[in-house]
Amino acid sequence: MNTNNKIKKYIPVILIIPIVVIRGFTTIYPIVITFINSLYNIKVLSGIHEFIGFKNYIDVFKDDKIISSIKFTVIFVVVSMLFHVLLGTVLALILNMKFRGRRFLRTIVLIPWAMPAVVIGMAAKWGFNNDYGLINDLIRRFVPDFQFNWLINTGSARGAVISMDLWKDLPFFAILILSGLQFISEDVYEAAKVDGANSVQIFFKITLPLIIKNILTLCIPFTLWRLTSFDLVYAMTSGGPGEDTSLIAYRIAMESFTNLNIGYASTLAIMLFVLMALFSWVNIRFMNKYND
Amino acid sequence: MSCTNNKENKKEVKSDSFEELNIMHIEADNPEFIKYIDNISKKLNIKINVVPCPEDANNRQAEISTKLYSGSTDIDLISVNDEMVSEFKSKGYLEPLDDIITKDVLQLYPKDYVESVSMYKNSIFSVPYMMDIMMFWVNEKYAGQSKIQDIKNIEDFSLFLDYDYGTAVYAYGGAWEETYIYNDLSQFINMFGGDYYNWNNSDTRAAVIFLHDMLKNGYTSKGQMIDRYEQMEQKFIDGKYGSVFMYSGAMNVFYNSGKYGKDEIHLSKLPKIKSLTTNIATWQYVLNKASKNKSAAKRFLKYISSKEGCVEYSNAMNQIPARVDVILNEDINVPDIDTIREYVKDVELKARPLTSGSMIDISEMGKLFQKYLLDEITLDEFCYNAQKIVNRNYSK
Repeated sequence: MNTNNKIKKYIPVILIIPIVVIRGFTTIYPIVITFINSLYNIKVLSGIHEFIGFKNYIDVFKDDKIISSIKFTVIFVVVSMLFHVLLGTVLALILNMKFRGRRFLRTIVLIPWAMPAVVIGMAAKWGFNNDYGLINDLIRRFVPDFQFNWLINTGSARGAVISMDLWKDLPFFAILILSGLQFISEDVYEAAKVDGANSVQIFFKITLPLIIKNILTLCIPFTLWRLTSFDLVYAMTSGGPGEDTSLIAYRIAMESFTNLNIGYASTLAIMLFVLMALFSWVNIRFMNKYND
Repeated sequence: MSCTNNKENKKEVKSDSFEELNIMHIEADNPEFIKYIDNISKKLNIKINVVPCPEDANNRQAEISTKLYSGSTDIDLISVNDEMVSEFKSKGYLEPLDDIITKDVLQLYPKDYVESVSMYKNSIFSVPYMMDIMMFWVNEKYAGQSKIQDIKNIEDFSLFLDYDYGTAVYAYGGAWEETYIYNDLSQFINMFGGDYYNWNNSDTRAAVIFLHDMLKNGYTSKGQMIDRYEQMEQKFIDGKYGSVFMYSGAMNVFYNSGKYGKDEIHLSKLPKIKSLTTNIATWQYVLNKASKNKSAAKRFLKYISSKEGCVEYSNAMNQIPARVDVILNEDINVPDIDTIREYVKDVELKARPLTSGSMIDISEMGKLFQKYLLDEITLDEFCYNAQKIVNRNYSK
């Protein structure tokens, strides 16, 4: 190998060094520091900073607040993702139909997604209010004496949070599925129709197999976003009633920025990070298997 | 709004002096407050910069804690409430202010309150400038309907609560969100003669049961369990509540709504259930120990704690000053000041029960009490856990 070739071999390495350094500083360094912090009891308000090893990791499983947060996080992610897939696919199919105003509908359907979650949360807090909210106002047009406090009862509060999450992100999910639908040639559908296939058969035998990879791919970031979602709950319910709508990411934010309990918050953050990495790995493995 | 974008948010009040002062203040966005600070700046010849802090109590406390803990020198004086002073005073982040609130000056404030909230190990760490007195407000329309014009005692109050005012309107309204319900809880414990630090006390339990039964009997709304003061005030103004307990600082809100008056919303005497005691809270200035402008800060504090300074604040902001002598004797521009003076003269003014972990404790107590109100736990379970919360951070 001559000198020129040797230099050429190192050029790519030299060129990627800046991005590796930046990435290392902005991603790896915080992860390492968060892990180190998770081994300490750091309570800013009490001035405590002491090494406690893995005690925080053990305490997590004894903490009722965390158990409650984990429960709701599981419900939130599973229910929300289920409806994302079901309703998102239906909405994408509607948007893929040929009708007047289709372009307009495709545009306005994205408006909720473009709004900040905190704004939606604050608006939803008033929207679900018994006295001033538009939800009960609408219901009272049909049932005049209707009185219900949506955000006071556990079930309805959880339902309200999930419905607002769907209202915000479902259209975006649908638009991304729609992009997959648009790659399916019209000829395929016409050939199926000629062969006598009905709409249901066309959907299950042609459309779904061709977009399933799209849906699975979309499920990775959308699930991860649900796992790290905190702003909606922060603005809408503050985790209440009690801890019943306290998502795990909300709990981390509270421990970290309100209680200034940095060590414990770091422990929760590391555990969530591991869970997310694990989920992504399983999902990617599943997709690879599906490809094979 | 965050305190961190200081360059954008900083409101500068210019002066030719070399001395400079940076104040983080809850009212920094209020033009009246800026005018008031401008006047002080000219009087004291100090260049004063005012930066806002977050509206949300939790965010505000976290941001100020972080600034003090990190030894930041960009802020000299901070306006804080009782909860924050109670947490900070023992941590060593604050400069003692014994040379400002001397023994003579201390007599002019509600002494027990200042000793309880501002003092730690015989040193004073804050200078109160605005007082909030927990007061009883009544909607005259409800009083007229129930024919209980003057709620003097528990019997009157019970009759007032028991009257049927119609659908979706309630005899009593509160802000029972987890971090606000503490105010009603401690106020009723005061009136029942109980002790917030002792949950085995029969009077404490009587107050808790009374609040529980108000909800159970439909005298008050379940919906208020997510309400903070802004929602409660709006509902009271809209005539959905017959009575509320609310701090005197809300006077401007009610007055400016055009609903304050003898025929509508008005202040009423405190009903005597067992004890004529009410909570007070103040907003106060604390001096950052890491401050590099301590001399200017102390000159400022000396002025705002003087009679002239108190009157000037009160007239500029239409709020009650923290000094009792000024409330009682000076000509201050606060609506219905005579009724407020009656409270100051006739009612025992008490500091709210606060611990060195106030914000977390208040929130946990609120969540726990909500569970009891919703019958998710029993009275005994509530009291047992409430005692645990109190014991954790409280040392008398």
